Amino acid sequence: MSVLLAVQGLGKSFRGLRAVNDVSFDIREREIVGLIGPNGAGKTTAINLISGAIRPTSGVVRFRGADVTGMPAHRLARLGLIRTFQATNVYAGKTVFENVYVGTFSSRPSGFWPSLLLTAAFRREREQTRSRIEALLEDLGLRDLADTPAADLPYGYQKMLGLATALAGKPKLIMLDEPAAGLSAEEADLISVLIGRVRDQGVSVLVVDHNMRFMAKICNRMVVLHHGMELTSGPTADVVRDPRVLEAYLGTEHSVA
Amino acid sequence: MALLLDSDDAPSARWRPLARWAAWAAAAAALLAFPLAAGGFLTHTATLVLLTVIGAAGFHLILRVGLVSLGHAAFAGIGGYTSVILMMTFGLPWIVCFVAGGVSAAALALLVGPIVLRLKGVYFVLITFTFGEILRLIFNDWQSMTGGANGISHIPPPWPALMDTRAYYYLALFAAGAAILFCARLLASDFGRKMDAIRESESLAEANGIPVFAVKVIVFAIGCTLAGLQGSLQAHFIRLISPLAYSFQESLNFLVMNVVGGSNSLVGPIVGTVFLVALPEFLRGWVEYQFIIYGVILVVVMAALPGGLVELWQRACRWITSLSTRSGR
Amino acid sequence: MFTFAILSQIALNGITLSAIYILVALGFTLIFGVMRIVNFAHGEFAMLGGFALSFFYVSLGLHFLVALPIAAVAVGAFSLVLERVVYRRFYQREMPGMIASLGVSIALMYGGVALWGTHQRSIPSAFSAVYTIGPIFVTAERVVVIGVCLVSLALFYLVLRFTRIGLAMRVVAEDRITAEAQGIDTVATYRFAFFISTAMAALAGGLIGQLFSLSPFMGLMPLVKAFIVVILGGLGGILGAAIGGLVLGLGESFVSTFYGASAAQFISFGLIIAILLFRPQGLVGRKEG
Repeated sequence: MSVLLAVQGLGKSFRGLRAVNDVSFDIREREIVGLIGPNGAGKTTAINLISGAIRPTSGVVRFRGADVTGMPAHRLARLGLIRTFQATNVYAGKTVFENVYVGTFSSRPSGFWPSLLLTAAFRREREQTRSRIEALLEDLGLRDLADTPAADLPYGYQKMLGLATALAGKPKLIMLDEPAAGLSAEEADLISVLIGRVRDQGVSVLVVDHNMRFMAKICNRMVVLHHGMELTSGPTADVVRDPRVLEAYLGTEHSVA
Repeated sequence: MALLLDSDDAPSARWRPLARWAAWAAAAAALLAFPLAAGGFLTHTATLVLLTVIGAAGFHLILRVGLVSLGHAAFAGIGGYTSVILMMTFGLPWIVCFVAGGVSAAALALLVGPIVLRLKGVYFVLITFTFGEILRLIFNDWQSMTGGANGISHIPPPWPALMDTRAYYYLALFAAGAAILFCARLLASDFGRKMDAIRESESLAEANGIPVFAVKVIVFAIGCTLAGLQGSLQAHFIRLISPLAYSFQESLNFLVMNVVGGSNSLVGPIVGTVFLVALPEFLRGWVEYQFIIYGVILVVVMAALPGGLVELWQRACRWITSLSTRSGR
Repeated sequence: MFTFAILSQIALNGITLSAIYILVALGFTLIFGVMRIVNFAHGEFAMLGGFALSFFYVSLGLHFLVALPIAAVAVGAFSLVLERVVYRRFYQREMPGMIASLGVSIALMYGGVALWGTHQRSIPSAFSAVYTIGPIFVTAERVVVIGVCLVSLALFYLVLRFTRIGLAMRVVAEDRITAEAQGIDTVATYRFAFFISTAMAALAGGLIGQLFSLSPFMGLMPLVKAFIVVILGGLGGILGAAIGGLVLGLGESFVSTFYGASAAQFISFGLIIAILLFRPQGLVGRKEG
């Protein structure tokens, strides 16, 4: 299996404070990698650095062999690296269908004039996109909600819609920031099944979460961050038994309490 | 027409095609017949409404990516002064001047846009306000070119036949119609969908592969171009320009039109413009209170009716439908 | 030719302007810092202050130094009505709040036109003495302006630094969520901040009416100055407003003396554009995040 994403020596400091320091890991094709760590470990910052939302102060990010360090997020999305967010994952004012339609932009020709002038080629292509969206919504059980405004959806469905929108961009690698946060146990299970199916369709997944139980279930490998540094990494089975990982989690639990 | 306004979010507009065509035709006929029925003063006012709609639609486009530009009137000023100076000082034919009015506003927007668009929210408002004031100072101080505070008067119409207000009405109607159709088509296209995505969440739009910054620059340039074209048409209609006509208050008027009419659809600025120009007609004898009422309306709309008059209309429609379905049972 | 006398005369004029600008800008920045509202009606409260002063000082014949604080308090009290009816609906919502404040601005401005007409009027000079300190002429009027500003700035600082409500304002400005969690009465804090802000604007308006002239449209100038000052100093900061006001007042005074008033305007506008682009947090502000 070839390496899809290679992160080397990634670092970011804010006003002299090191939020992420010298983090390195790989993601191969058809692999689910977990980025875990207690709250404030720098997980979201790491995703922001990789996805181009903020520029790293040090390190190199390679995606499909090309150096993409600091590349703007919209160009990465077109290359096939798409992320979701912890909070805002839907366009609240748009319907479910329109949300996913926006998601397709990164996988479609982006010409300004064909869409404005409604050329025959454009309409053909849009018809295909439409049936692709319908299939995707069907697949995720959102079909009946296609015309519902995203703002009216229950929270769990909004999370699902965010995932659908990201998938509509035909990613090679999808990065999910806390996909199960705030969900009930059943909903979280549903999401984990879904992530497995996404992988089976040939998409690699990077998941960020601090919920060990959820992560242990879905990840092939894990990278553990603590205070912005890489604590350890390896196959899930090894990482969950690592006493240092347990200590990092318990340590913060204590300090929080 | 149906093809021109084709849009994916059509389920809301489930008119029968025939009724839709009939409505469009009736509206077009009414607009075409208006000057024949109305007197000179009303035609003059209607012409002003049509011209203002062009600038208001430009403002609307910028608003649709979540930005408020208080320098909008100054871009109308760029178009107006460019067009008038080229015609009166350099004797160029009107159509060249008109195009130059739009091009100059576009060029300036493309020059300034990439710089000012680095700012968001209230900071963007402040910088466009400042930029507009700088332009107004230039109009005011560049005596030899712009005629200073007195401006330029005795501006010739595009061609002699357009001295007649009715004739100018048709020019304005054509221009406004073209501008509105262009904006409607733009907003219904994929590009328009990208604009709306940006307004809802910039970071999500960026993550979904939309080049947020580039889209904003293009929208800003298009919006300012429309302002420039309006400035040119208006200058040759009123036949007088002065810095006063392009001040911050005029930009504010564009904002009021959009907000009062409704900032979620292109119908908003059209309704808002008609309303704001027509309001004084209803408030005859109350002229001195007119602006007080504008202010109050602005506050009330922001507090209670974020979708503007368009939303009020939609609510009323829904209320009537619910009444009729209830009584039908 | 640029003798010490001329330069210090210009500096004195500059400091007078600075004092007024700081007074206006402090209130403006306070409302933004605490409520996150860019109050476009700020200049209109200055305008109201001018007319209130004219009423208490000219019509009722009170002493100038008595009429001035009464006028400020009267405007502050009136502004609380607007706070209750309008502004409170828009706290922490930057864009809608800004647009609504534009509405208030228009309504107050033309309310002024309906009440007082559009012609410019003046407030007769309260102090006519002229002192000479070495080669410089100092009118008593300017001494009063600077004095009033210094006293109110000192009061403002003391309230903010040493009272409970001042502490509350600072905490709310810093982090509203935490402030609410700590049990700070945010509504009372907002109301107080609003009162102080508009009262300071009204004081400034009275002084502007005394130095220059009075009209319903006079609010635009202080508003624009407040913009420039807070951009120079960073939106939401107190020290920044003071430094920004000094830079603007002195800068304007020197540039307009030597190069004319419109040059001064060009430079100040050019300066804010440069600052907004390269240091949006202002010259003395610190970067967020």
